[in-house]
Amino acid sequence: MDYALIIATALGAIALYLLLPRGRANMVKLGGLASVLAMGVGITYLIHWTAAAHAGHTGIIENLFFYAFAALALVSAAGVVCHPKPLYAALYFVLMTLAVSGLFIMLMAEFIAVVLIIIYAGAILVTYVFVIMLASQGGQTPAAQYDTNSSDGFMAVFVSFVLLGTVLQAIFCAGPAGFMHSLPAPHAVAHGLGSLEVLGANLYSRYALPLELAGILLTISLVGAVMIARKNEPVAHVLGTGDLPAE
Amino acid sequence: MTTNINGMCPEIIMICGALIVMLMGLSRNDTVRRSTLGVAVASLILAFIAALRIGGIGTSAGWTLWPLATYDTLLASGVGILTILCSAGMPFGNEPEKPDRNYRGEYFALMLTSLAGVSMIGKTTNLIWLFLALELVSIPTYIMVATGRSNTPAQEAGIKYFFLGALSAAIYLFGFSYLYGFAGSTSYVAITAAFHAALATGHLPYVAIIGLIMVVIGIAYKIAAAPLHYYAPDVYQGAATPVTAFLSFAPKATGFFALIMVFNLTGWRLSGGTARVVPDLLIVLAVLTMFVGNVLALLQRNIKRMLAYSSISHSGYMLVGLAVGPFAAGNSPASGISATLFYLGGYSIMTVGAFAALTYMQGKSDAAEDLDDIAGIAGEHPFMAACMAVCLFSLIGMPGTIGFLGKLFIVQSALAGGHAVLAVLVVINAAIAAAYYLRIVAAMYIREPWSPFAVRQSTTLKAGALLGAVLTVFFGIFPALLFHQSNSSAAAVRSLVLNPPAGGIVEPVSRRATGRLLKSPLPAVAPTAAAISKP
Repeated sequence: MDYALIIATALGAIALYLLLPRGRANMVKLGGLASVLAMGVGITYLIHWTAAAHAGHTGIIENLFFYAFAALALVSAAGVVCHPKPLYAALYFVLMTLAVSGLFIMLMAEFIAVVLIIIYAGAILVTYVFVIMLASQGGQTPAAQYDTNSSDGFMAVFVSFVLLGTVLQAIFCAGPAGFMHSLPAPHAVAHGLGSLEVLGANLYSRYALPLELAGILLTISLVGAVMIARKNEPVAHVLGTGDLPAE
Repeated sequence: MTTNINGMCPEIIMICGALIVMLMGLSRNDTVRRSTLGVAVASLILAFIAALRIGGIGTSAGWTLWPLATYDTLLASGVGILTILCSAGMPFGNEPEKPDRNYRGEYFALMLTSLAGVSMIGKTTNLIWLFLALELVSIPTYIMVATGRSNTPAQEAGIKYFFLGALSAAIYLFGFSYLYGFAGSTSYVAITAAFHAALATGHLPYVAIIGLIMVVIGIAYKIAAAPLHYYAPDVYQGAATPVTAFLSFAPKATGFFALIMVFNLTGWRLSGGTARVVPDLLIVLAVLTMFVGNVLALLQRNIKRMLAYSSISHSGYMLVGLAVGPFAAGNSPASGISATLFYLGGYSIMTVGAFAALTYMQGKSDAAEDLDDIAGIAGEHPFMAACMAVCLFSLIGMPGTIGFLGKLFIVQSALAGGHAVLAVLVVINAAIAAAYYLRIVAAMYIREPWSPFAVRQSTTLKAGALLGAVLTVFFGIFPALLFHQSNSSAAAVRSLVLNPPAGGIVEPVSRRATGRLLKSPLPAVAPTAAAISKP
């Protein structure tokens, strides 16, 4: 049991709960204070932990980019769920994607990083923004309550932070059952697995079958999307074959 | 991928069938569009035959458990035929007189793709493949729920099912990623080796335990195990009845096969130390699922909701078999895995048969859902009422039906595995379940009709219900065929677990190998790029 980690997780939970958008009294300041405290405790713990693991070497300078990207990812992820305006939430999501792909680049997984930006920040986000703009026409009227208030905020925060706390405890626990003792050697980097060349060769040789499966999956999802989106007209109008006999 | 492509023959047939059906559905000719059902059934029959014929191929090839894979494929294609017979006239339109048949081809194509996914689970050799197969089952079912009939409840059910299904996929994918982190590879051989090494030291690392728990919880959604069953009644009620029949079979079969595949990785030996939580989780899930399903089913008057809760409770019985594991009772059918697989086959047949009869009774508008709507239907439609009654008696577990043998094996396996309390709980639940199934039978046979019936006159549906009822009784009296399959699957699981395949981490294709790969077939990569950039 690491009390510092529990404190950081609990503070984070309180912060997120206070920051969630609600109709009544706004607790943004208190929530902001709690989140700063939570991140402070978390970062201090990480630095101490690194120092303990590497014989007094804190590694703040080498890991500066890690801390920066990680903090940015956390703040923008909180922004996604906490901002009362959907469009801003979507933009926070872009920021989070950028921060996470920064972390991937630091792990030498360039391809995943670029794909993350292209797919999430590019394709998916444009769709989100279109949906938001089309769904919330008429900017003069105040948004409906279900759009501005978070429903069941307490349960969501409670469940997600209990999960987070459990995973954190498992990661940082010492001894043979802990993560750091059980992870295999990072041979992915040694083989240049993050690079496009190796990825392509693997996809079309060892993973050819799953690749084909993914193709079928995408085809069938596309057909389904058209089925759901299309207006349901009687077949006679669509195909021009006249009335059908029933069964 | 070490699997011989020949082994994938049934799935390839199903997917080709799906593509053909999809194209036929676009035809201008109504006869062609109607024959999609026949083509779908034909491709499933072909897949069934192919599965029987290729059963032995590559028995020694690496990891794949051929008996289990064959049983999976036979179940998917065989019960698949039943579910397709159930879907005559799908999707249901708003106006019963003027059915809109736009999506007929697509509907059967979705069904076939989903069945191909179910049939693939037993052949997977890799977590990535397993994930894609699970999604191949789920995504078509989301679309089938939303478009199976054109009314608001169906769309609401589709949305609910989609969002919760996506969440469960995220959860088991999270689990898979932890298992990958634990073993350093997604291949089953490497993960098995990692589990063996870790269990030999007596300390299963937390990374593996968290991964396993997440996978079990994500897949518990697929099999509608309590407390992840909340969606089931709403979705089963909102979807068109043939889609409900499909939902009560395909995701459940997938879930149980996937759970067996995942536990094979661990060698089914999680009883010591910190790893104990995983088998305990299975027992808790089994007990909760049985009680929640059966007790809540007692409160229902809507037949589809009642059958939804009944399908939840049957998941509970099958989970008991999984919790017992493959070692108790050796080679008899009472080994936990054999009992679960036998029950899965029996449950699929009887529940789809019951839904086929229900679809017939509900009529063109697909509206009759309350017990009152089918009160006294036996007088006017004795044949369908009899089919329904046979399937319901089997769901209760009456002797002479497949349901009885299924429950018997589950109870035997629990006793042999030293879980006497679980065995008693199964028996108690079977007694509770009899009450609500008998209410349906009583409504059909004893009560007086209070409104005229508008049944869905369709020979295909009649054939489906008859086939379900006949198979239920046939396997109840001559269980050897089904039993042989489930038993040899369990034996294969046992022998694999006792003698795990040797082999370390399968190395990904490295950079040096890539150079070779790229050099030989594609000599002119760089010049082409230069040529493109010139103008």
